[in-house]
Amino acid sequence: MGRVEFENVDGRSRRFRLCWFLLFGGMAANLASGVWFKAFATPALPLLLPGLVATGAAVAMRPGSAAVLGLAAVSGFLGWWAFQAWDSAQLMVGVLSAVAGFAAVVVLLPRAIQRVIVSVMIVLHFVGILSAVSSVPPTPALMNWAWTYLYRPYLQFMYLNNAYHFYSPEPGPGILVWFYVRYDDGSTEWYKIPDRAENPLAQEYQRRLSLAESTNQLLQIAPIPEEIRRRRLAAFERDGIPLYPPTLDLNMQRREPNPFSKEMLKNYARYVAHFKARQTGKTVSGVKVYRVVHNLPTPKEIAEGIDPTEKNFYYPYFQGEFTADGQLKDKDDPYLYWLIPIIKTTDPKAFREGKLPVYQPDEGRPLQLLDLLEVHAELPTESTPHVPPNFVPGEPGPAQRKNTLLDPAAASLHR
Amino acid sequence: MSAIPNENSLTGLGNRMIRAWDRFWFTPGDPTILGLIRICCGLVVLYVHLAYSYDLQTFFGKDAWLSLEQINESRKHVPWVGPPTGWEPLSPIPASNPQEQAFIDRWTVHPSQVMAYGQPLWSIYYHVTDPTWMWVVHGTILTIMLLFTIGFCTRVVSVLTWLGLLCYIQRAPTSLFGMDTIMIVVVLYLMIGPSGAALSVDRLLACRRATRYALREHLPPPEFLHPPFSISANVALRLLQIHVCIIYAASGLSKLQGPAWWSGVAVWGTMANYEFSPMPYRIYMEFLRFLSQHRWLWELVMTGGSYFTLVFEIGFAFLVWNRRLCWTMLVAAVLLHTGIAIFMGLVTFSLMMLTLVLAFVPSATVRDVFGRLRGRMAGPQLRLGKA
Repeated sequence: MGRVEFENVDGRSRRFRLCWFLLFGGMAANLASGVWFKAFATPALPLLLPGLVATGAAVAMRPGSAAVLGLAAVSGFLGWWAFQAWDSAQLMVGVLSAVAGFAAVVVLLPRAIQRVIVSVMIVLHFVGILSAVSSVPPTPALMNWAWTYLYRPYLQFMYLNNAYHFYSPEPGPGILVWFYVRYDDGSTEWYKIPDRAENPLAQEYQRRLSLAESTNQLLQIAPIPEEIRRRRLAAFERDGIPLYPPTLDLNMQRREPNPFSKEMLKNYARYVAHFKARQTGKTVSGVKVYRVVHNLPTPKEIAEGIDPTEKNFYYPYFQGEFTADGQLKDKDDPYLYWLIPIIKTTDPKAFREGKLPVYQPDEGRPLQLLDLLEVHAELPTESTPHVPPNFVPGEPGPAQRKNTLLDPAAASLHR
Repeated sequence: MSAIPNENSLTGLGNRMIRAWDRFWFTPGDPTILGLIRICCGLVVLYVHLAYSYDLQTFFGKDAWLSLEQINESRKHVPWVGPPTGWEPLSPIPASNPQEQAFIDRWTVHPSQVMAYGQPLWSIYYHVTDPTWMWVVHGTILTIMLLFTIGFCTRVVSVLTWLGLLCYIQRAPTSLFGMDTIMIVVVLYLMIGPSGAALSVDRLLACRRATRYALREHLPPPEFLHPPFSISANVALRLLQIHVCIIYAASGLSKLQGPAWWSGVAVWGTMANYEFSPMPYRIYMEFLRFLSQHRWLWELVMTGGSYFTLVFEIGFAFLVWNRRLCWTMLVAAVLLHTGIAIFMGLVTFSLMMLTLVLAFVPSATVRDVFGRLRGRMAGPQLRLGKA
């Protein structure tokens, strides 16, 4: 058997000496690093990192030795002491040292007890994994408590916190983020993620798709507050950007992100502003951000030869205009979190006036693309639009009174 | 006289369960399959992190997509509120001073309701932000991953690879996807088991040392039939196997909440998703068009694909343990993940899942295949073939 030959040729005494040399060398390096840190308040990385690796190598050579494991734990704690300037590294070294210390005790126990301990650890580990799996609502209370009060630090530390609900409950549309960058000199440009042309490597492309997806954590659908609705309709009066046709429920036309996604939007806007400023050498005056839902084509549309990248397949939800430092310019922007229509209609002018032209294929009037995103992107971000004095909250406003777009029966658009 | 417990009694059942548990976890196992998993996983890990070279500053720099300031706040200050353990739901508590109000404005929770702050995360990129030093760190981690893949000093570099993976994962959590989730699981278990005991440079060097020793001592040349069996190899394999079962079961059962999976149209949601699928390629669009122009065919493909996914994912955890059905399930896994790779563009994710599924391939089969390959490539010195 291979095992016997290996034991014969391992050069056990040589390995034995090397193991202790590495262990004590590692300990000395870690101790010296700690002293260095105390004296100079900076981590002595050229000593500390080899010290930790040497300690690990010693454990790898004699993983069954309680003495080696125990001294490795001591060496690790010296490293922990020396890593005070790097809190996350200190955490990692502390955890590894604790594991070595625990293992030093376990290897001294009888084999049966060792197996019981390993069995308990396995069970605890997989209960933790199951608590993460069931952490997606609807969550059983027991698992919720287990995750929150017991497993959260372990699962987060090990990055085992995934629920594995791939494409559940069902596959959704693609999410993109479009940035409209405005420069001080008045010039503008679009920057979109993900973009296959800019990121041809699949890995890079997927990473950006994940970034876009992180802006898609939304608050629950709820009736839109009257004040917000009023502002939006007043903005329509001012700018000629009506609501999306009633083929899409009104409450679905404004989707506010949750606090996490709002933070991500700030970060991403800031990143794009800095990136574009570096790239162009210009000063960025603002970045308008749109979370864009790329709707799936139906099989019928594909059968008819319709191109799924036609612009009306994209539903852009305005996320606000941000400063170059990632601050939202106007939290009362009337379009904030609203869907900006990109549609196909036979009469774009009538649509912008709030009427919904009925599509009748027999008439032979072709459908035209009406891209109000381009119109909206050009709008300055300023104060809330003037609200006409005859507007009565809760009642149809002037815009609505002449706006057949709120009549679901009038839905006649291609999409 | 001591009574022998009846096998059908509760005590007998308990004893049998304990024996079965002991056999399942603590029978020494062959590390050959771990070696193969290490090579496959290492290649994907290496590719994924090489690809990061384009994006080092973009994702991990101080002013990355997710800025250092933001991730530091997240890991140090984000408050965690526990779910109530009584019947009363959590209710908002009004602020009693400006500090509390500022806290509520920032985190939407009263400070007295917070049970913990921050997250215990590790990444060297929280601390190293100078571009030159970041390149040094990145290069070092890539070298470690290469050593892990070829199996050199595997015991040490497997731990370092795991630490390295966490550096990237924990620094840029919003750029991750399923592949990263699976990757860290595989590396974690490879770190626990002796993944360098077979199909590795470590093994090769050990065999060379043994041969040299035998020659020097005038002993008969040693025969290397297979790497030594160990309990830790078996534990690592079992951990991989159980984890892959949990992944499939969770994925399959959660799909049952979605009407599209029941109605059999869910697969269209993946095949016709422009961002994932190869729709930019004309040939693929022609294929979709052809499918869509033939309703019967479309329904067959979509319903078949949706139900195949459900049956496979839910059934895997139960059927793969059956010796007769094991290979059927493995072939089904290959079909599913090939489909995911082609139709959804998730090539690295599929490769990682297939690597994970390798845990169910018997080591003897792997040794047999490698033995035949070695025979063809004429390497007479070390026989890694049949036991």
